[in-house]
Amino acid sequence: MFEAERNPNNYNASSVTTETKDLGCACLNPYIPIKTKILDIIQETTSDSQDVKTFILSPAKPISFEPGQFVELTVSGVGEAPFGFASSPIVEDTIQLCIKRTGYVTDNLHRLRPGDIVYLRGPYGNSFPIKEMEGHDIFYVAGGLGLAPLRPMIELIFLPENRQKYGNIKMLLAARSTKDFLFKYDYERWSNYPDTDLLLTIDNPEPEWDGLVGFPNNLVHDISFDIQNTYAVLCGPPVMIKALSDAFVKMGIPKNRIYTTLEMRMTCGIGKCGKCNIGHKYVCVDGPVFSMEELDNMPGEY
Amino acid sequence: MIILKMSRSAFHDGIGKLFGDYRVVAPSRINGTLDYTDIVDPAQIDLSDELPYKSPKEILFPRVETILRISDDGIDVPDTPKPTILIGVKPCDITAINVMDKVFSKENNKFSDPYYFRRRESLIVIGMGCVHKKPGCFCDELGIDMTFSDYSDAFISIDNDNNIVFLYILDEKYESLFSIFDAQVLESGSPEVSEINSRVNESTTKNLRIDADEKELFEEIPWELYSESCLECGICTYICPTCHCFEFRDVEDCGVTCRNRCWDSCMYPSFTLHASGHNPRATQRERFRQRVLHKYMYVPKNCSVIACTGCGRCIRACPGGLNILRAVQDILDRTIFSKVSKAEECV
Repeated sequence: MFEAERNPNNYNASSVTTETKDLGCACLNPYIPIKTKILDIIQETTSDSQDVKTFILSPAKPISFEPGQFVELTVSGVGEAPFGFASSPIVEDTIQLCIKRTGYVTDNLHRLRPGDIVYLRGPYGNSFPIKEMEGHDIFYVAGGLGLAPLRPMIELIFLPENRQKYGNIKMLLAARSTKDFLFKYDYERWSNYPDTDLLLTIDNPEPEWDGLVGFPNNLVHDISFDIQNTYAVLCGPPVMIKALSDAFVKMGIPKNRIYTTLEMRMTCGIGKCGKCNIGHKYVCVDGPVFSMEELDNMPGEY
Repeated sequence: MIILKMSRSAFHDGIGKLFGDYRVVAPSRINGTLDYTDIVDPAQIDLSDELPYKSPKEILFPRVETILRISDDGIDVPDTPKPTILIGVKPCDITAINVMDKVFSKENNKFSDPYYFRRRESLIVIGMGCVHKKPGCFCDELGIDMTFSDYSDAFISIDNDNNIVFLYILDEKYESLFSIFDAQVLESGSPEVSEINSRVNESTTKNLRIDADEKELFEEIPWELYSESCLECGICTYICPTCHCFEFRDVEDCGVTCRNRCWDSCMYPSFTLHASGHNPRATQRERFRQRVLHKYMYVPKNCSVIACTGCGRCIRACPGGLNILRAVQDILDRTIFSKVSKAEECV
């Protein structure tokens, strides 16, 4: 039989490819982004030291996500970088990303205007275990831009149908100065929700400032809350996360009730490019949300 | 299994018939250096008992690959490249394809990489064994048989005295493709052919896997001792058959942005550098640690294979004389010692 088939025309290349996939389809190609229009840009900070803007975006196809997840944003002709979602997950047609002008991609993004086009792909990563937190108090601590990735969870839990499932809510929001607070337009609404305390702190005293002064890890000792019944949710610079979680642990919050979300350089978002791992865990798929119990068993490579 | 017995010239003639439909890649000598090369004339093929200088990974994972073209008109993906036949691949490099298959598959982190697999699905691998172990090679330490790998589609064995090529067809689906060869067809077991079998001793396959507490390894292993002469050139990662880390680079021309996937290297400071200036792997100590543990601990944990095949290329090429095998053996000595001493403490 084999002999009979000895004819060079008896084969063709397509018969050896098991499947010819159309990689133009986003369902088969996780690297394909969605065309997205910038609807509006909100200037958040007014200080000279940092420039943070919130970009209100309208993707051509809605992107549904869970609080804590992130998206890869492309500035055309420049490059791509990962950003945590910063808006309520129940609003699907528009997405907000709160972004500091820091590097090459963000610098070019900050030059864009409403009406300009960017590209998004995602969502990626895991999310905050909000179901597990039901029946408990929640203590949010955000340092600077760390408030952005917490905002989807904050907004979701404040929804009337969800609010009753949780106990008291404390929010300690830290900024370098009064000019560096983000989402200031939300604070009054947030603090008016039932059983909610919103505290603000800045690094150094300023005239006419009646809020707190100092780093969150030094302040949490003086804030009264039910240690036995609280989930702490933190985000900020790595130094703050480390010092603050130490403070909470010393106060007696179990490590499996302290959650944070990490930032890493991430090219692919799908666990292939090899940049974001901490030990054998990949922040882009196993994270970015981790409990302190998990982080404690991982090397401090962040 | 069907085995084809043919003269060397019949083998070359058969390969010549493949050029229309396939990209043919095989070891070939350029200025004295043997390397996996695109073949345009079968006479270029050099099936000597020598390990090609670089691995063939760029066939599946090119140094630069345009993955998207983005313009106002939409997003478009470059066409699927021509199927490739890779001839004369050594068992270490075949094992490396197995590693890459796992790393880029869904098995590792839930997503499969479509650009890797569209090349992989149309790749035909024809392996060839090593006769002698080369200086710096240590595939045997990893339980890899240098004479044979069944992770290939076909395997070549050469009778140099009589100028005869035996082609063992391991995957039946390629029997009709290989009917292009003017060859005598033998069945396995016939007295004319020697049995081709894996000689791997299963008990040795986990020899170099590092299995210890990650935090302890980070703190207690003297990483700087292994990496102090590192020049941060990255040659080890470029030449490695399993290194697969990458970066996207966007290039815009006339309103069309090409997103290119380029090889990157964990040996470079910029690899993990945040835009803020923070770098989780700030010195070469941490970067060499990442390279060793990624290969011998993280990939084994996530994909159940060691991401090193003992080809020895990084050891031979390193200008600083770094030796990953010596580092791993030292780590294993130290971790076994610490486990033993802890057990003694318990007593």
